[in-house]
Amino acid sequence: MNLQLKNIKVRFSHKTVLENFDIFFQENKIHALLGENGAGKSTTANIITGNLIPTFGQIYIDGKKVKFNSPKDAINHDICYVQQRPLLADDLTIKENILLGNKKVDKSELSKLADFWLKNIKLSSIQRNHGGDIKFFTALVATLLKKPKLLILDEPSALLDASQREFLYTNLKSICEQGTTIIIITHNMEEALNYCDYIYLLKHGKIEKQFPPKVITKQELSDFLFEKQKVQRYFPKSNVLLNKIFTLKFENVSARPSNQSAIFNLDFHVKQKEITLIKGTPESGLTTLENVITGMANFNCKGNIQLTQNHYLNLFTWNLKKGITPYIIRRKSGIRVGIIPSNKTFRASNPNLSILQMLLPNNSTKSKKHWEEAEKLINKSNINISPDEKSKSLSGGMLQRLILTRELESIPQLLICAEPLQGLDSATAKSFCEELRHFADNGAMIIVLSSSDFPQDICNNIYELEGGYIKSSTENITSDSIYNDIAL
Amino acid sequence: MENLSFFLTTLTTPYYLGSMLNTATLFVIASLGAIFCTKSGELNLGGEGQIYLGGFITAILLNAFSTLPAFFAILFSFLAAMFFSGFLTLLSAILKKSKNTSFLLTSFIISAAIIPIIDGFIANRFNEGTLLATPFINERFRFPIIFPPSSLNVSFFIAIVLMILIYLFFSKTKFGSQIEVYGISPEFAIYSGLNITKISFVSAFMSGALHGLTGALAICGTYYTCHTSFAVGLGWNALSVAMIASNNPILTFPAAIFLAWILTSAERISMFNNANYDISSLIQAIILFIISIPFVANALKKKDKNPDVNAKII
Repeated sequence: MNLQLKNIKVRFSHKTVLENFDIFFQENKIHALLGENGAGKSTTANIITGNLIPTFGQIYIDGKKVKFNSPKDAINHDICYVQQRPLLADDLTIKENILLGNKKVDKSELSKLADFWLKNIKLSSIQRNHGGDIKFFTALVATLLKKPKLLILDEPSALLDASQREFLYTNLKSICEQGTTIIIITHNMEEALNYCDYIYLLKHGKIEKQFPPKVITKQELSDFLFEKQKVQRYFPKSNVLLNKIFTLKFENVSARPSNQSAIFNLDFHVKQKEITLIKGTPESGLTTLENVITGMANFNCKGNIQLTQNHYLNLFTWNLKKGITPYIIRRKSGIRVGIIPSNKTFRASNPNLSILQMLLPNNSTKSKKHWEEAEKLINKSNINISPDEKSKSLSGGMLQRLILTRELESIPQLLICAEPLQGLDSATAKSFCEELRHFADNGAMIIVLSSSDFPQDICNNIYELEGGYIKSSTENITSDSIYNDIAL
Repeated sequence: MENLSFFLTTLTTPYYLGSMLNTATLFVIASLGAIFCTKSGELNLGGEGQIYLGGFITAILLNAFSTLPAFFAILFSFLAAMFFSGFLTLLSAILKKSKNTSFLLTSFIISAAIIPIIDGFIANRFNEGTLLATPFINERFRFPIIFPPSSLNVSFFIAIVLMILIYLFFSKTKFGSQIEVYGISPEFAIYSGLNITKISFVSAFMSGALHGLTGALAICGTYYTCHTSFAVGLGWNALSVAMIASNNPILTFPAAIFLAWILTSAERISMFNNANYDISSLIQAIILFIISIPFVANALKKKDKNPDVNAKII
């Protein structure tokens, strides 16, 4: 299928996202839409898949003009979309999720696809018990069952490790050769260069350049995409955050939720001026741990949280058996806390909230003072949106930026970040890590939970979570051994 | 012209106009109660029982306090009515928090349970002679009529003031904005550190309290007695008003007037045409169905592309 977008314009009440946008996707090729956050990549995908009706412009399939008023129209034209965070029913089995939305299913085809993409995974197991990688492959199998002529993958590698990415991209080629045009939305330059037939560089809602990958190097691509930006100042410039030495200890933290991976007797700590990294996969208990330490667990937990000052003065102790909530953590612990959860869309925000409500949940009345406060945060995030627009108008990366700005505005003394680099383009991610290190150096305690490549160079304590236990730990890495060039 | 009498007579006859506005008054206050719950993401289906309980408490207490000055007797009765009805709804919020039960179901069940209990009290203990009603309240406690010969009384102004106050509460106060955030996304509200126990309990209590106030005003302004099942239809109609008003407190007034107009007109038609009173409910349903058709038609209609129209997220 050849797909062309002609003269597309997408305008919302306060901004124009795409203007005079023309793009042509040749059939049976893999195309990469590359660009920084807010460039218009997801907007392009949403137009093609019928999730968004543009203000102006036409869509042509094999030279014939078509009109998509809903995702169903796109599906009827054999266009399918695998989203960055696939929306699957967590309480259904993998097989049920695959069958959802598929009217007639060839059982042999289903078995073949499942055996290939979901090796060693029981289709009868509940979706919730699996990590993001299995969610992605479940959504992919469900999509491939429809035999799409055009397949769009939004940040396909966000939930996959290195070997899974290699497996995916190698096999995407063969899908392409069987007659499917593939569009990949990514901000990963290496993937675009190594695996795609054409690269389209998007910037500020326009196609800046398009070319086959062999004509450009990674450095040239990086220089072009991420022009010298002012380093995003998420963090305050003040050098004096704390004049006391705080230590936060988590002791014997255990939980056995019925529908998530369990964690057993975890001990870890973070001190002032330190970054503690806990790495692992969601199925190793990372998601459960995130829910426990951020107070979002709706299951029984055990263990203690202890905050001490100057190594001996006990400021705050909490027994997790009593239950802990973000209200207690944020308002009763006695320190300023910032929490950046892994679920940006429905926990750190909600598509139906206005930007004002999302930024100032404690008091989102439309007074002049709050409006200006919200606008200040929006400007700090370098985003063009009005406080009365809905959060669903934001791209994933922009939402992430806004969440980071909101949580850091209060200069938290404790910052808990889960998957903080998710959805950020390379330049923003690098800048964020640098700033995180400076923030810690200024006195904050930072805990990072990550299942993907978070730079370990900037961390003082590293714990590896596997099977619900801490498999290995490296503690008290001094700041001398943390070098400034942060590699991503 | 005769065909237009359904539409015009209610508006042009003082008795029917006044009755319509009186009915609308009760709808407004009860719908404000419904809105308190829906703003916090819940649906209070127990309005009927809460209104009935409020009316019953008011009637009983006003009869008990017949020697007290009117101001204090009315104030105390109203506060008691609001408290008990509020507590009834609060029970649903407590059950949801402690046992994870459905607020919608428990509010309905508790209301369904309280109605026959009150019926029993009225029939066996608190009735006026052979009537299935409490004794009439003293004339000192009855609200002045402002539009005779109808029963439109000063509670009309109370409804307007409440409507404005509750609008200001949700749009201008910190707690009101927190309730709205919680109603849109409970998970986000919890994550943000909002006190969701306080939000859910206060919303539930206020919802019940406003329903109880509706019952109290019905006794003092309209019926002067609590007869069995006086609240039938009030709770459900108030819910309809809240939905027509899209949970906007200011819009409850026009929505209530509209629904009261249909109700009053339908009852008048059925009375004078010797038809069953249930016909009035059918007429209401048909009219509401007909007015909803344009919205359905607009949703199906494909608009022409206009460069000045904003992009539409599906």
